[in-house]
Amino acid sequence: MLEEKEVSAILALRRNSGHPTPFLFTKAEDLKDCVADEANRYPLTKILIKIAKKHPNETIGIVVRGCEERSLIELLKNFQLRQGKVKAIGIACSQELANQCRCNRPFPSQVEESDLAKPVEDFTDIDEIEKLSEEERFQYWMGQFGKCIKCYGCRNICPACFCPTCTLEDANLVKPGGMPPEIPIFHLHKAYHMADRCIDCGLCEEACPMGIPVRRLYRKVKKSVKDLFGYVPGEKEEEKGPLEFLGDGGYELPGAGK
Amino acid sequence: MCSGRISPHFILKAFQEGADGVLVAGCHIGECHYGKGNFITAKRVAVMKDLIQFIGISPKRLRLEWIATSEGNKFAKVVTDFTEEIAQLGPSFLRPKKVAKFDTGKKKEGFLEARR
Repeated sequence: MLEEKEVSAILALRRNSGHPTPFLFTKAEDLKDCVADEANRYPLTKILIKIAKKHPNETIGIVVRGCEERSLIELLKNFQLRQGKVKAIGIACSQELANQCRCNRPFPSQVEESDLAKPVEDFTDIDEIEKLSEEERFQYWMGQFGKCIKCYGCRNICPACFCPTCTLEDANLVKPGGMPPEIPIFHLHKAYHMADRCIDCGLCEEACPMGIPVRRLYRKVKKSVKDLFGYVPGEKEEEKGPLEFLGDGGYELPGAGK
Repeated sequence: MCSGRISPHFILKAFQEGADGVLVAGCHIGECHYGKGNFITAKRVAVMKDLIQFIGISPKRLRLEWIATSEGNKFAKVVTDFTEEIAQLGPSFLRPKKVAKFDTGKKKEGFLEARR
């Protein structure tokens, strides 16, 4: 692709003194250093936003997994990237990784391979919490949220977060300076934002240095949006998230009252 | 204020500050002054209820009602109903244990004097 000038650069991971780091390949001969192995997941799309803002007229290729492709769709939908200025190069994940991530679509759409990993549908983590009583649930979550060191890791790594001004840094909504941050509001703000945007990649939970199971929370809101409005983020490019527009009343609205 | 203006963050903030219940009241569906402001409120509150239920705050503490400007009786009834329901549920887990002490004297007087 690079030689044919179809794209001006390819964003992928490169092995840099033993560690995989994101790298923008501009020469075809450099591509031999590119790594696309199983152990490394990285939100490349997040870096692509920055590059695309600097060079809006260049077409950039990007190596994507299933989750990253969904993130790409979300970013295109929210006008963070320009249509036609991104070329996705798909790689499929192994069954092992899919099981580990509990991924429900471990392959991008345009990959042509015979033995793709099977999607995993597993909601045991949510059911586990829902079995508990109200007070136990509250104690569980407050215990987990209390570990937060406010590193913003979950937000920074999230391939679906892109706002230049973040709610979590708004002094009126979350009091600044406290440690741990104001709980549970800090995590709930993020969870609400993820409701119609979460692509369920699980990077937030991997990035968390304190091991807070934030993905459970996001999976839950994602599931409730799916149950209420039948919308799944990252699937169709033309469909907008139900919480991002007013709506036309054409569907059954959740009723008022209790 | 249009009920479409009620950001979910406001609801969360109220719970965080120790509110026992949050009542969101808007115009009836189809009677919105702005056309369709209350559609988004309905969607937001539905998601919000699921979220607070999951972390252990009873979804009964958040209520959405459609009350028109002329429905004074309904408003009174809803508020009474809701207050009773909340009283049955008891105080929220998030309510701070210590009651905050308010500055009763000096600052306020000083402030008033400065204004005079």
